[in-house]
Amino acid sequence: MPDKILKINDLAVEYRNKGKYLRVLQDINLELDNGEILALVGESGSGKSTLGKTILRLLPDSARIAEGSIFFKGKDICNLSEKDFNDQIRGQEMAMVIQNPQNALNPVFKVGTQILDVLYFKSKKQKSRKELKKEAVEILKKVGISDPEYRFDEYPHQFSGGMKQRVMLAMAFISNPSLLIADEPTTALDLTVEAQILNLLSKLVEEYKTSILYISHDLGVVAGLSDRIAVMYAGRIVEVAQTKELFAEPNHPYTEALLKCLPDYKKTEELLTIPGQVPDPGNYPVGCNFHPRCSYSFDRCRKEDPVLKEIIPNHFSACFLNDS
Amino acid sequence: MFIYITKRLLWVIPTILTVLLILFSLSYLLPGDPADIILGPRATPEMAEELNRRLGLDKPWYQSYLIYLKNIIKGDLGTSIFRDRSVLTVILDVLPYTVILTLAGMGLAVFNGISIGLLAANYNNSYFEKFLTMVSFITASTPTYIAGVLLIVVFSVNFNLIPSIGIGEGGFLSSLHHLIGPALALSIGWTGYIARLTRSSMLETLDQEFIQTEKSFGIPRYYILYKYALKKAIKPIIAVIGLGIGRLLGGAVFVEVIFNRPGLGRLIVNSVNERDLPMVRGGVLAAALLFVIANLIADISYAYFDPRIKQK
Repeated sequence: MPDKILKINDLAVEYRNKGKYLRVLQDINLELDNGEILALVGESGSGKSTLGKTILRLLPDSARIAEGSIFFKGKDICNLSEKDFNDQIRGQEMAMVIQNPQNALNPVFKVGTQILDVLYFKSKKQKSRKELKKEAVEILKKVGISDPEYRFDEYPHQFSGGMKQRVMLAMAFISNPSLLIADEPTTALDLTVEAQILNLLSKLVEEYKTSILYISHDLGVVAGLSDRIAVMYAGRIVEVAQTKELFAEPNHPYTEALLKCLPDYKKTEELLTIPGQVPDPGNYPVGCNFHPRCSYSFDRCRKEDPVLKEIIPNHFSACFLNDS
Repeated sequence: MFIYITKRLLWVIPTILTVLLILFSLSYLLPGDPADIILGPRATPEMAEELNRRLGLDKPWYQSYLIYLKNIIKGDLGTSIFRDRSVLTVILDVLPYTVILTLAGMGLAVFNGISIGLLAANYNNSYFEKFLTMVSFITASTPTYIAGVLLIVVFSVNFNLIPSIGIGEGGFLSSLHHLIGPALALSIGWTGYIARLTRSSMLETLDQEFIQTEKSFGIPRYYILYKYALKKAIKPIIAVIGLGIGRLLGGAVFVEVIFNRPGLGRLIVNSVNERDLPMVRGGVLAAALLFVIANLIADISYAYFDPRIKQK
C-alpha cells in the first residue's frame, strides 16, 4: 500500500464576519497518495481555493481551522508553530502556483532575484546566491525559457503570461516539493498556452515525482492530467473517484450536471448550465447543500446532511440516492 | 533609463520659464506703481524714473522680460533695493542653512514616518496599531509653530537640553546641536503624514497575490515585509517626500522665525514686507528651482523603484 502524503480529516474552516464565524469548509476528508495528481473541481465559490490555502496556511487572519486535522507525511501540520511551518513546510515540502501569473511575480524585482531568493531560503541560507544562480538558470532552461541567462535580469513585465507561469513553475519545482498545490494555474492563459503549460507540468511531475493537488473549475483540463478527481460543492466534497470512473459513471447529481455542461466542439447545441448559483457561506440551505439545484431531490435531501460514503471500492459520494 | 532622465530634465525648462514669467509679471500685477510703493510719498520724479530704469519698467514688457531672462542666464538677479547687495549673494548666504534644515527635517520625518508606518502595517488590527495611528494623527495635525514653541518650552527652557535660538558659532557639533530643535519641529507634521501613507500603501501591497506566492515558497515574513513589499509600496511615499522637500525649502518660515535662523523662507517673507521686488523675485526663483530639483530627484528615483517606468 502506497504511503499517504496528505491526509485531511474532518476539516472545517471558518471565517470571522461581523463578529460571527461562518463555516466555509465542512467535513473535508481527503487523501493524497505519493506521486498522485488529485484534481479538486467545482464552481467558483465552492471552496476549493480555500482548501488549498488552508493546507499551506495562506488564509487571512480572519480565518481559522474550526475542526479536524491535516496530516502531511504522517505528521500533524496544524500544530506546527508559524515559524516551524515556514521553515519546514513552505518552500521545502510544499509550494503553490496561483491562478493569475500577471500578479504572481513581484513587479519591482528582477525575475532572477525572485528565483534566487526562493532557492536561498530553501537552502536555509547555507549557500550563497552566486552558487545558486547556476541551479536557477538550469531550471529556467528546463521550463522552456530560452536564453535564461539574459532573461534572469529582466523584470516580470517583460515576460508574457505564459512565460510568467513557466517561471512560477520553475520557482515551485526548484524547491523540489513533495506536494504542489496548483490553484487554477492555466485559467488566465490562452488555450494554446494552456496546453503548453499543462504539458510542461506533466513533464515536471514525472521528473520530480511530485504529488499535485490541482484545483480547477474545468473538468476538461483535469481529465487528461489527474489520477483522481474530488468534486466540491458549497464547502463540501460531494464525490471522489478515479478520473476515468468519474467521467464514465458519475454518481452525484452535481458531478453529473457538471459533466453535462462540458462543451463539445463537434456539436453546435446550446451550452448547458446548472440553474441557480452556489449559495454563499452563511446561506447554505438546510439539508443537502445542492438540493435546491438538484433535479433528483426528494424529502430527505431537505432535512438531513448527506455524508461522503464509499459506494463502490474507491468511489465516494455524498448523496441519499445511494441509500434508496 | 537615459531617455527617461533626459525627458525629465527637458521638462524642467518649460517649468522654470513659466515660473520666471509669473515672477516677472509680479511688478505689473501688483497694485500701484512699484516705484511709488518702494520709494514712499516723498520721492522725486527723478528718483522714480531712476528706479523704474533699474527695475526695467521703462521699456515695453516683452523687452524687459527678455532683458530679465538674459540677466538671469548671466547669473545676475539684480540688486536688492534695501540691502545694496546683489540678490544672488544674499540668497547664497542663507541657502546652505535652508538646505541643511530641510534635509534634516525631512530626513527625520522619513525615517520616523516609515518606521511607524511599517510597524502599524505589521501589527495591523492590534491595540499597538491603534496607538500608532493615534500618534500619527496627533503629529500630522500639529502645526509647525506649535511644535517649535513646545520643543523650546520643554527641551530648552525646562530641561536645558537644546539651544532655543541661532545657528551655533561655527563648528560641526555646535551647528548640529542647534539643528536638533528646528529639524524636529519641521519633521513632526510630515512624520504622521508619511506614517499614514506608508501604512496604507504597505497594507495594499501585502494584499496582492505575489505576496502570497512569495509566502507559499517559504520566504520568511520579515523578508517579504522589508524587501518585497516595501519596495513595491514606496512609490507614493517618494512622491510625497519630493513634494515635501520642495515645500519646506521655501516654506520653513515659522521654524526659521521661532528658532531665529537665517533661511530662504524668512528672507522671502521679509522682502515681501519691504516690497524689495528684485529680492522677492530672486528668493522665489531659488525656492522654485529647489522645488523642481527635489521633484526631479524623486522622479528619477521612481525609475529605480519601479522598472516599468523606464520604458514609458
